[in-house]
Amino acid sequence: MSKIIVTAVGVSGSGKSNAYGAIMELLKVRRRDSYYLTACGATPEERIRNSGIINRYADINQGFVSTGTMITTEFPFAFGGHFRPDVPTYPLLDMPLIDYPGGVLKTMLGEGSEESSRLLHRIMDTDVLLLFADANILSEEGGVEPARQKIALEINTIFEILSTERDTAFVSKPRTVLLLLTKCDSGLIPQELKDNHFHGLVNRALQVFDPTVRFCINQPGWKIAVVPTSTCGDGNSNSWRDGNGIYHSEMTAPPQPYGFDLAILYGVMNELENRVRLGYDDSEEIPGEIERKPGFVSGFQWRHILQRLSGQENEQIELYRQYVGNLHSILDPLRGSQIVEV
Amino acid sequence: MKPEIFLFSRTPEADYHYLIPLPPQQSNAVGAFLQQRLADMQRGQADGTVYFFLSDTDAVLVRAVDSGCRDLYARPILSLEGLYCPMEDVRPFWLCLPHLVPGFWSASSIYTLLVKDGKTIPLPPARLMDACAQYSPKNRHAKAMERAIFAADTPVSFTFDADGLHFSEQPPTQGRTRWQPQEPRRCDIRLTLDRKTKAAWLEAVSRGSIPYSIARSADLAREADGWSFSALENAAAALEAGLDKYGWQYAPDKGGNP
Repeated sequence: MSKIIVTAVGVSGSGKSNAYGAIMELLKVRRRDSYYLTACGATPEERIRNSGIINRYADINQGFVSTGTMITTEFPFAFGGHFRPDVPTYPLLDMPLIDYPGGVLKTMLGEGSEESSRLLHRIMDTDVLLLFADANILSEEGGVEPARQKIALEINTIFEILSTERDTAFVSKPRTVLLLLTKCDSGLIPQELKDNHFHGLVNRALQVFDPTVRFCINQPGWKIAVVPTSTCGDGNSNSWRDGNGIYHSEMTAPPQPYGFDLAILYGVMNELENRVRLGYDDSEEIPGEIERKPGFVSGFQWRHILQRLSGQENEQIELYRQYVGNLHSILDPLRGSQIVEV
Repeated sequence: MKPEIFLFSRTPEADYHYLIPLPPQQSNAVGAFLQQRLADMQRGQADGTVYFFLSDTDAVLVRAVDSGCRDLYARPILSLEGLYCPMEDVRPFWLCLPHLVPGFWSASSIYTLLVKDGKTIPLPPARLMDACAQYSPKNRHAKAMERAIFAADTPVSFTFDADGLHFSEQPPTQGRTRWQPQEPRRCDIRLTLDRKTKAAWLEAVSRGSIPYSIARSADLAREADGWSFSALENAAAALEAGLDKYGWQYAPDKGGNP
């Protein structure tokens, strides 16, 4: 199966683990508009086992209480949609998601480690990049500069370095960057930032991540959008900040997450659009170069093989096109309110 | 004895990592075991169960607990903490465990002792062990643990929680019911001369109705006029010196102890 690489990048405490919990809730359990995440694997046994692993993790996140992430965990997901009867029910893409301690980003700028270099390579390979910005910190009184120091310093530095690489592999491929504003349910966000679909907060986030945003805008084919999200849902939580500047929050009602599914769907839509436009598909089943061995197949068989292979490829691209059309019909009405394209 | 303290946790600023790392000579088995404990901790299992894990070359005593501190988002800071012991010290460490483990289990996290203002401060392991020994209660769990550990010939892995001690496998006791840990067990040394292969060797065997082998010297070749007495004596001395690490001694004048 083809693969789409989605990477979450955010500092410690920015809400990555809870975002994964919410993504599972929104796309594995509730299934927005028939789009779903399921476990991937080569055999049914493996898929069932992987599904168990994912569910166990989601169970822990029930109620979205997290003690912070200690070790890197990979969720073997596959993404699909059954929005029309003639679309296959099986998943379209492998979408492995990785949860890791956010402190790795700090390590990357410090002494470095095996884990941090693995994350950097994943960022360089990624199709859809999710950047995490904590709405509480964005709306602190200090304004842009302290927030940049707290949540954006590492991400901006990584982008600054990658954009000036001599090897242009990172910039030459079209990618989608999503800036997720997490914890938007917080009562600590002032009303003027909240008004008009978090207009003020979105602007503040764009300023905080300014070098990254500017870089993404200037790249041909790159897309960047801002999505306000919450794992609790508005009005379901109680947040406060104590004298030492420590953020506390508690959930007062069952969680109603929002925003994360839109981010994933938006990322997938853009990536598939790119694949349709550029006519590529990174699945490994079709070899890049196939060579005929005259002793093994006749000319007739060979023509048949080529036909089948190109047919398969066209089938896949055709499927991508259908997905893109359907995703556009879902996401376009939400532009400007729930997804802010830059 | 040289056990070393290690600690995997976070400070409010720095994310989870080994604040006090294990020594570099740690074995892969111990590394994998700790990784498993970290995975459990990630799933929320930080109930303070004490694990003693023994690999071929080293051992760890470890537990995952809530440190009682909070990070910048008021999330509880968990800590995986314990003692690492290299192979040469495993036996004395094993004999300390009855005094160490109950106290280690019931004491609060050592995180607050080791981390001040986001920096780690060195703490001699002996101080931690003394503190744990003071905490160790004198109840029947502790008594049962003492009996089981002191009776074992070789250390085995176990866990310790509110229900007491759970060995991963029954520790070998070679039919003993009682054993004083302060006093090494006494054994015999036997000389075997094999006329067929023309080799001689010395073997330390347990006393009792069914003696079993404890250690064996290398084969000594026969010289032209028989085995030299001094060579045999040297081999016996070397064998005797090596018995100590197995918890045995050669004292022919004292008689056996069970």
